[in-house]
Amino acid sequence: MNYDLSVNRHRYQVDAPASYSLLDVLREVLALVGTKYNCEQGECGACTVLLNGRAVNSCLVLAATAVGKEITTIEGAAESPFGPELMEAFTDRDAAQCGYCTPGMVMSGLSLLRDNPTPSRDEIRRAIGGNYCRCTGYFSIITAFEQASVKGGLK
Amino acid sequence: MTMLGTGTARSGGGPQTARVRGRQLFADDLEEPAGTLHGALVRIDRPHTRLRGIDTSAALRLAGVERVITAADFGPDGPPRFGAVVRDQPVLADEVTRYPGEPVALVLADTRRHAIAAARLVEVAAEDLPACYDAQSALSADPIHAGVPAYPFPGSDPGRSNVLGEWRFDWGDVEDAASAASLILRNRYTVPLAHHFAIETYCTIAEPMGPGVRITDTVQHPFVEQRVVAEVLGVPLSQVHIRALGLGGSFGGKGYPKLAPLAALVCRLIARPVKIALTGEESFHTGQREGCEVDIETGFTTDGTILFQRIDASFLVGAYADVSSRVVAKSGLHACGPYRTPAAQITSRAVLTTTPPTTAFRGFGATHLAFAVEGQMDEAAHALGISPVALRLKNIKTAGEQTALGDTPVDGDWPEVLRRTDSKLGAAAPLPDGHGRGVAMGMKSCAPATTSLANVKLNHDGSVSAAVGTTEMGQGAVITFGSLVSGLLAVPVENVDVTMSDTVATPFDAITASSRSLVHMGNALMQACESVRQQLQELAAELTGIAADRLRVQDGHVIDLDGGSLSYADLLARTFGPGQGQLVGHGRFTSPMDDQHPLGGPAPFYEAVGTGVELSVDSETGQITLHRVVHVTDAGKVLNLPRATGLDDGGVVMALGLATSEQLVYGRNGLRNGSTLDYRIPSAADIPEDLTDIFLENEDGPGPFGSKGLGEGGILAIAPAISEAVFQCTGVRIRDLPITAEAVWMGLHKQIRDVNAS
Amino acid sequence: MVLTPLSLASHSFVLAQPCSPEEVDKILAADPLEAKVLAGGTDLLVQIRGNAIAPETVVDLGQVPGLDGVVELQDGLVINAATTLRKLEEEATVGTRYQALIDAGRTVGSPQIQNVATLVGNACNASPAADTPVALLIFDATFTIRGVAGSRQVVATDFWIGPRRTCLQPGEWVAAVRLPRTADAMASSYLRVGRTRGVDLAIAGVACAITAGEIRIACTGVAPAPKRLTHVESVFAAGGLREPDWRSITAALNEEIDPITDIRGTNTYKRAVAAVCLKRAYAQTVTRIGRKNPNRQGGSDEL
Repeated sequence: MNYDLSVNRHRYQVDAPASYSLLDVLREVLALVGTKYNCEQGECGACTVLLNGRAVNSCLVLAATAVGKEITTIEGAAESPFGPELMEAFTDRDAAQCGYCTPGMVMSGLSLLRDNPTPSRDEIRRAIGGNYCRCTGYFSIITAFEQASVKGGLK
Repeated sequence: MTMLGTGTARSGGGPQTARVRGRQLFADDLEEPAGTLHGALVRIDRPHTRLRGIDTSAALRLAGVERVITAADFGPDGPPRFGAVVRDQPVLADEVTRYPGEPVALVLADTRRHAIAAARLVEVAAEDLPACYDAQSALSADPIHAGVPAYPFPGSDPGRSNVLGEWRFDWGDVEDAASAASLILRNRYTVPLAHHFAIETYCTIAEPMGPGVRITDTVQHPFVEQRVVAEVLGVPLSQVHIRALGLGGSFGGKGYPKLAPLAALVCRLIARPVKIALTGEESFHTGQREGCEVDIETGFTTDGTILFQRIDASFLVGAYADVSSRVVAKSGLHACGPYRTPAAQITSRAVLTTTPPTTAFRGFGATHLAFAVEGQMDEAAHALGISPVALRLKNIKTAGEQTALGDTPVDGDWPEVLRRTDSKLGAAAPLPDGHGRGVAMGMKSCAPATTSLANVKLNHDGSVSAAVGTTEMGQGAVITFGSLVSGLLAVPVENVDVTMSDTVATPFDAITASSRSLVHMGNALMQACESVRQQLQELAAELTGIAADRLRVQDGHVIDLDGGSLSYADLLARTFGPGQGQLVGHGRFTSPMDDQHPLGGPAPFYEAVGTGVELSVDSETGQITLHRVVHVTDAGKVLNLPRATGLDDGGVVMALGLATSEQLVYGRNGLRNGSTLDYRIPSAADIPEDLTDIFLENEDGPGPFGSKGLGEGGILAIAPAISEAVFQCTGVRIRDLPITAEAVWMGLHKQIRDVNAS
Repeated sequence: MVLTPLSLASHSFVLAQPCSPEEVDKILAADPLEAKVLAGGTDLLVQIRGNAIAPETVVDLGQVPGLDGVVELQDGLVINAATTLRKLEEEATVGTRYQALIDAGRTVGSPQIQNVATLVGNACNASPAADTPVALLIFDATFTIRGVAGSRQVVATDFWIGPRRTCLQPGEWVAAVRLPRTADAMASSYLRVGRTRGVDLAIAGVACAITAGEIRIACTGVAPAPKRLTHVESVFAAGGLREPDWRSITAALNEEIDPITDIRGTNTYKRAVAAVCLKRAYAQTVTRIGRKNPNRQGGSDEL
């Protein structure tokens, strides 16, 4: 199939089979490999991107159905609201160990903070309930979200 | 040394920034070499079969498919076997398959999607052979290996039994001790097979390099893989180049070679680059932790002093050896944990089963039996009317005491670890109604007899390039080593680059495992930096005529005690001429070797931890709520506090999953829960409400500044602590992991039935 | 006999993106057995990837005008097929009149799933452990089913007929779910237990609605399909809602459910969990009645 996708506010012409998920297109066609994967069935959250500002599992969205929507990946996170604050907080709080789940975590965080700039710890836990991390035990990540929400919220 | 231990993780800013921006590249993120063929593995789904035929014709007809490799492609001798300890695992199954998920064919196509579509068309005919999933059935079954290979382990009986090896460690007179004991507890504990569940799956890329190969792999130990691949290819080490990028988690699962031997052979066979990337589901068939069945008998005096331990542990190690022999041997040697045990009879048996080969897993050999031994301590305490912590304190070894069979004496303050755990947990006293508390100890010996080499180069602009064979996988080695070098050579950390994990670019390192890198590679790096520093001072002494011992390094300069200074760049320019030259330092650290030692050498250090939990149980559903966890680590010296804390956080939460929900379940049709949907690891919703990590820093370790390794400890002791706390809440004692809500509920339900029956 | 890597991309299908309901009808009619409807896709794509189904055509409802969103009518609510669980959660009317539906939607997977998955898709997936169908059962929902031959209405109790099976005939699809307007005072809840606190399928779950002396109960995870528990309801009502006779209610529950043993639990445990969910869903509903009707002494009139 041939279609256009808008990723991080850039327009891309895509030629890919209909069965390609957004994850497949991002990684294999557009070489935007910051988005990671594990389960490819919507359980691990490694492939989380934003679709019109909200977190989705890119493995469970057919790329061709994302036409006309704005896709934001980790490569565009720095230009997103709360992006700089969240990334800085991840560094400050040492919230990335191996770093593999980090892009997905950051995208879930941006989705949360967009809707709820001052989340409680429980709301943060719920927001990343679909993002597995096997390294950190989540504590540093939750703390990073809290830091970003305060700093970003001051703007 | 101001960089160290100051609690900043931002010193490793470069790599961290890349990580949070998604710019860190993992193996599957790399652009493939031109002409790469993508491999999809066809696996048998049955536990144990005799292969009758593989029909690849339909697969070969599909667009893009180049080859389908099976055992038949490896000539009359069949597919080569590989293994880090013993070469017993065929790169593709030949005649007999021995576990559900064992690869029988590799489809090669121009794209991954074509390879996978074709893989679905490969037809395999096979005849079922008996499955064995537990020790009893495995020990009574015909051997799954017909005498080949002969396992070089004690107790192995090739071709006659499924015993891979049986390690016995005895001391004292157990019979005498038993007759003197006033309390003898006999129990059976079980620990299930589990999956590492690194979020990054496995990915191996092999490309031809002269007569050899270059392999980019998700592997912790590139130098082990280099040896293993060289063995199967029959080429010298110099023809095998292995490199690992940073790993997206590993926890032991990517330690020893998995796909590289096959990829290397096929790459040579077809003279093209080959890439094999696994799915999440396939990872379940690729890396697992041993299951274990433990029969334990412990004798105590009335005051709670341990008199003896009689332990018979059968580890279910899967169909091939991998490094499970080492896990099982180490488990046996230190089976009695941190406690004084005057007499012991320990059998630690590795049993071959029809499940995937098991391998290293965080806590290597120190988790299974700790669950049993710590459980015995709790049960004895209740039977004798002593507090579980008091009973442990009565028996715990103190600094300098002998450990099992003359291994390295106790190198830390273990009683203090226990006391700190208990006091911190008890600090919230009194215990709220319905809550229970449990405290347990963990003790793990570091892998012995290994070597790390390090190179450090001071460039003529004053920057530093260090090279270490350590693999970064989230433990923070790149940050810690970068700041170590920065501190030792007095250069800004931004000007230090650490190249890692590459058999060409970095000198030898045995393994990145066992929490050993800080001690082994840390010391090697210190030595390398020391060499560079000496060279700087000697060159400056030559140039200035000031005695070298009156010079030191500071802020990128050699300074003399009278205030004169010379920048590194100036010094090198004057030595080598402008724009060239380099000072090179080399360091080496080898931990002691001992042929007589059952593990090949004494423990370089011990990782000792205490874990305390406070929880409550929903008596109607059996669900556990973890209110507080306290984790104390004897760290010697913490060099990177945020990462040390993060590692213990992560270890505790991983162990929480293993203790309460994770287990691989095999049935007639193979693995029943080999997917992310069915095998649940803890999510952010499952973590304890509160977790406190404490580090004991007595600077008594063999690493830089008195440090010891850490990072595995979080996993060692939480399961027994939870078991005890559940008992305190409910009266239900669970000796089979995981302690699921259903298991707790079943226990409670049985109590109700028993009461009604009486 | 063999396991092969699972990959959505390795499958081949045509993606149809119709622009009207009639066009959907036609595409499905052209290939009634090999075309599948994508109304969110979080289940459909997992099934294709897992080789459970191999449709030749996937029909995306995302481009069909009028299929996205909730329409409030005098006598109820119409939830169109492409309405995501997230969007549903944001609808004020759903929150006030159909609380159990919000409760259930919030337990379906993660936030990422809820941002994509649809109520109708969750219903048509017909998982025996699905969460939202039980809420539809207690609200007496009706499915608007379409096809080239016309449309028909099917009540929720007739919609699910077994594990992964619905009453949909080849070529038919669900265009909307219609919920009758509930009484102002009605309160409802959905409660479930999974193996972990985080995202997981339910071991068992129960939805409960109470109004004016009437109780409605439905369960998931403990029968071949989500099920309205009419027998439990009548035993409950017979004993009075104020002080339930849990012994007889639990006995009725055990007669009416039939859980299987699987990786999420034994049938014995699932029975126990279902009974706990029932008690707690009831208790939470009573509390919500109290909140909804503060002037009626804890809403006791509704009991």
